[in-house]
Amino acid sequence: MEETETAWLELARQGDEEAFARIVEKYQRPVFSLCFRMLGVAEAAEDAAQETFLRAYKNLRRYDPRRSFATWLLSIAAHYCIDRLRRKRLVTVSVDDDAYAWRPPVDPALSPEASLIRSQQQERVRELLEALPAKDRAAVVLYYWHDCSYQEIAETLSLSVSAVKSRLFRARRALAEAWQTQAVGVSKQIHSEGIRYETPAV
Amino acid sequence: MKHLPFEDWLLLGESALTPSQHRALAEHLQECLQCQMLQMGLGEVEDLFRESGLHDPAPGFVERWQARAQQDRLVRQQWRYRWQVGIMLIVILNAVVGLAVFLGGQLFSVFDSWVDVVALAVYRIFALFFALGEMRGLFAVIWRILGGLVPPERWALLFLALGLGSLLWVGWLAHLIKLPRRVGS
Repeated sequence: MEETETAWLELARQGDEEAFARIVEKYQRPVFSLCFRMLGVAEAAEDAAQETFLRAYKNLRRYDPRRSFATWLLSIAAHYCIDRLRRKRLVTVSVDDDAYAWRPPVDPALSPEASLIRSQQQERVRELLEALPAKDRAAVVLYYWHDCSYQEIAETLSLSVSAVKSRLFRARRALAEAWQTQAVGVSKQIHSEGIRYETPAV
Repeated sequence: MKHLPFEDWLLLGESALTPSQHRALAEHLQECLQCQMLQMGLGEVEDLFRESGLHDPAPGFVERWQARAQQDRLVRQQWRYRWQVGIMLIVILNAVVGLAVFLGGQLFSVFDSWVDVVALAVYRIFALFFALGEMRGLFAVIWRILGGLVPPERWALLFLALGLGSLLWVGWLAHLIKLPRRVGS
């Protein structure tokens, strides 16, 4: 951990909100990304990321400085998102509900074409991740997007290393199957559109 | 065809395999379409994940967090205040009930019947009114003496000064309440 970060954490531990705001600035990207991959909706991810930092700030005294701060923070985010997904499963949510509508974050630097491709790519990622149970999803996100080791994932999700390996194993199988299902769906769509386009010419 | 160890090897990741397992897997993949599909699907999923990268939140995330933290602090302060008031009310209520039970017990041990208690209560109320009337007379005398000593315009000035002082005090209190509370190092 950097010296400046240690100093900010020490100040924040004494109640300095400005010091913790610097921590928020530094970790906003990984925390938001984790929440975004877990929940699939930018607005929900923003709310979850904000809540993660608030919980971290309030419980800063419980943080053990011998552990990685990033792992501790991601652990709070992952557990919050897992709880939220479990609660959401209990509540009937309409697909048309605006709060849960799929809206990827817009990058103004991208051209419209690139933006469309990126949006489709994000949609595919979301569909693939949605096929996984909440904890498996968290393990996959931490492994692929945050480059966490099995040990770090185990610490983050309060699991044993063997449980993490088994969850990732199961998740990879589910992802490969979901990918194949997606591919079949796309090829069927292309085939049907091809027939539709061919019809006027016949 | 036997897929089981090969599927497991594919899903575990090729980095976990020994060189001989690698060779066996490569040979199996050349002739097994199902395992080829699994390997391809997994490879494409992993490529997609790598390409999609991390996301930044909307600009102003830190400011929004600060506003949320402040809001959270206010809500917690209100809760703490409500708890304190609630606990205080419970303590007062308990004290009143305890005192009533204690005094009631004492009272009934002195008197033989309800009639005696009511008669004493009526007598005490009349005595209280009488004492208040006497005090009113006493204050009227003091007021007349003071009125003779200090002219009316000075009284007006005195009350005006007191009023202004009270206003200033209330204003200062309001200012103190609005000041942000921080626990700094």
